[in-house]
Amino acid sequence: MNIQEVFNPMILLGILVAGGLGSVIRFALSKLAGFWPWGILLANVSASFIAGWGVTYFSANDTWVAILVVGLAGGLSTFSSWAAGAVLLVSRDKAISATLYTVTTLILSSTAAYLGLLLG
Amino acid sequence: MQLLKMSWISKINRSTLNDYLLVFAGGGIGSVLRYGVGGSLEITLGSTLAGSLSLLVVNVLGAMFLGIVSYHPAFASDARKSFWGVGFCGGFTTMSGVALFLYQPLSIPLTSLMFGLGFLGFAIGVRLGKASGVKK
Repeated sequence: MNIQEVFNPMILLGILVAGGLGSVIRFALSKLAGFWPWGILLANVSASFIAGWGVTYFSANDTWVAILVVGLAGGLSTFSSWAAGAVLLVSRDKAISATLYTVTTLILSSTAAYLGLLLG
Repeated sequence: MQLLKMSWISKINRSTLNDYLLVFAGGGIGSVLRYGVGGSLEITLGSTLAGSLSLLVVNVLGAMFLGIVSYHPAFASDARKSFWGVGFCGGFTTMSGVALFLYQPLSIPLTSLMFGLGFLGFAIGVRLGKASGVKK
């Protein structure tokens, strides 16, 4: 892809709005928290499904892939909150829980992405 | 490691409409910037390398920045934490990108490296944020 294709203003605007929307949904979900940050886990898993689904369903349309996968799913999911959650658990001497949280996030997210790829 | 108090997360439980608008703005800008990093790397390095490298760069930098935002006095207000922490850092980093990447070659070592560096990055960010707080 060249610069014009990558930095198309419509794509940038779409990602701005979709990424903002995804972030707001993640913010609302993040209030579900207890032993683990369940809301963040749910956000990451559902975003992975959306990303997998979008990649397949809109495979012929780069604009929609960018808006849905990079924007909505990217904004809904987060890596920085995973890092914060894991460091927080380790700092409370819960290294095993942090490891389980990480493995659970990876297994559920990749399974959701796979299901999305299949169903899209 | 010292016990971390993420008191601002529970404070944000009482969010106002303003907090949601700030999260929307920060998340949108973070997402566009993440796309910009990926796009720039794709133009300069080609699509094979760009995908994995851009994931590593945004996630590690985003985790480190969230550590700073959580403790640096400049980000002490709820509004700034909503915009920069929940919005910007959350939008800039991605887990769905990682989940899709797991089905590509070399993903296991690169993902392990990303999670290791992300963990360290957040912890370093916390240190940096706290150190700035002490000076002031």
